[in-house]
Amino acid sequence: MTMLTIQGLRAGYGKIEVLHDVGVTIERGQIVTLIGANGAGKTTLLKTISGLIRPTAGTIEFDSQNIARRPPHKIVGLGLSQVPEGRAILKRMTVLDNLRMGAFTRRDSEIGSDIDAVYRRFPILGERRDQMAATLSGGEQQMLAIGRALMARPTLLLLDEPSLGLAPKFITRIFLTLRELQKEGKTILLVEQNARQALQVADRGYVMERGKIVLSGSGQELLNMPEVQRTYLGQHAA
Amino acid sequence: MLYQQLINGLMLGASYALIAIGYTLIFGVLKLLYFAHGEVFMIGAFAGLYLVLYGGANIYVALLGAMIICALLGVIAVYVSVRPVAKDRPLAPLISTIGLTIILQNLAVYLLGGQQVAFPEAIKQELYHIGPITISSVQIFILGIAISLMVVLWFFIEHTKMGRAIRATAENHETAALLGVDVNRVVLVTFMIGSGIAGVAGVLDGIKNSGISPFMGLSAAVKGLIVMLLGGLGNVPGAMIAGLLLGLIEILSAAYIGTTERDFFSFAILILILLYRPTGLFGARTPEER
Ligand SMILES: Nc1ncnc2c1ncn2[C@@H]1O[C@H](COP(=O)(O)OP(=O)(O)OP(=O)(O)O)[C@@H](O)[C@H]1O
Ligand SMILES: [Mg+2]
Repeated sequence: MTMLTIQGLRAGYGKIEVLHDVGVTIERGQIVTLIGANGAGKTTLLKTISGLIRPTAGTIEFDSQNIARRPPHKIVGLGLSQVPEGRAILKRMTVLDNLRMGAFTRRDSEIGSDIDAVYRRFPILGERRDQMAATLSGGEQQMLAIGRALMARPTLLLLDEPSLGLAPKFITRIFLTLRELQKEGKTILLVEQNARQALQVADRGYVMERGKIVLSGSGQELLNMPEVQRTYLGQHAA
Repeated sequence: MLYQQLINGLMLGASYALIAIGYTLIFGVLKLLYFAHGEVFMIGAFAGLYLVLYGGANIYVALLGAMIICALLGVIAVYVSVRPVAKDRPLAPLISTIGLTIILQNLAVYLLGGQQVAFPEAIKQELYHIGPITISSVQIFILGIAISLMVVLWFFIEHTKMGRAIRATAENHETAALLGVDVNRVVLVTFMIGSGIAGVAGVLDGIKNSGISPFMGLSAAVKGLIVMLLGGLGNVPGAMIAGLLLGLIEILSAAYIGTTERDFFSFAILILILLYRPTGLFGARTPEER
């Protein structure tokens, strides 16, 4: 079953087109990773999927509805949430209020128990629940960003470079969490510069260069491709 | 004597605080200096006056009416002076709201005349003596309304879903939108709340000074802006405390240092903040500290 199908997508900032005819498919339950150099357009693609940027052409089908050109606040409610680049924690709000904001679109009575579930997944957040989010370390803020995204009960989770700037210990923790989430039935689109680890967890990968998808394949296939090794894994072809 | 001055200072400060709350709320979500706010305050005063004079309303109905009328005015302000102008040009909405200010003031002079109008006695004057303090029923009423309004607003901002959405939007529009907040709606609600509170402040001012004029908006706007700066841009509790503080400082300095020009102290404070504490006494809540 396909969860997300992007076809012929063009988008950018003002008159500058950044994404040129992008196509990506994500199957339900998969971890899909998107790798690419700085400025390739990865963040632009995620922002277009979540509605922050209006595409000028193309379709984005999520759960067989075209969500291209819908406003971002309507897209979250469909089950698609994002862990933005740079974490985008609400720093002047407490950890608890950040998590509550994650559930903004929900009206059910299980928000409290979902907050407890986030605290079980990331106990440090429970200990810091009444602290301003600004006081958390970078790794803790990343956990908060993930926890907050989960509070929307997404079926598809988009993550924009969650490992950026984190100590190895936290990076390992983040990748473990992604595997756990996949086991729990979530579908994941992971943007990473940490190409090796990303391709290792991914069922499928896409490589983006200058706003175009230039390569795709299973995570393992991409790991073995000489051009990927040369450009993204810092190896020389055998 | 001191107690008496303290009460006068609190009365003055409460109305400063109510005006500044609107400024700081709006500044928080839009980073916009909303110039027409003083005129909204003035229109609130006239709305209250006419509701009492011609509508036969009691003072509570007049307050509620002025609040609703000003809240609607806030909605109109968003549609005529905020939404139509380019978001990526920070000066554009500033200038369009200055335009709105001029229109509102001229409209008021045209419709209401340029004279000061007496505000009817809406509450029975009674004096109470509590120890060394003498306090009037009017003062109790004004302080009571102002402080209750601030407590309710504080609770709303800190502890309700909409209040959280306002705080989130004030931090970052994109992040708020990604979490499911309809940012345009939050902006609208913020203008409604800020303007509604300014309307109440206008009526309270009319009761206190027993007279209002179409030109009362400007000085209110200036004091509101000073208080916003003193409390920290975008900082709602900061505006509340700074408003009370400024009222106290003005009254006490006029009483004890002996000048009749209490505005002198406000402007002196303004200059001092700008020089030494541009983020206000309690910290600004504006640019995203990333
Ligand atoms: N707000 C913006 N306005 C104009 N151009 C932008 C804006 N944001 C990004 N761009 C441009 O769009 C292109 C793609 O940027 P994008 O942020 O999507 O890259 P990225 O792949 O996420 O890079 P990184 O790995 O550094 O995060 C770049 O050329 C960038 O300069
Ligand atoms: Mg990026």
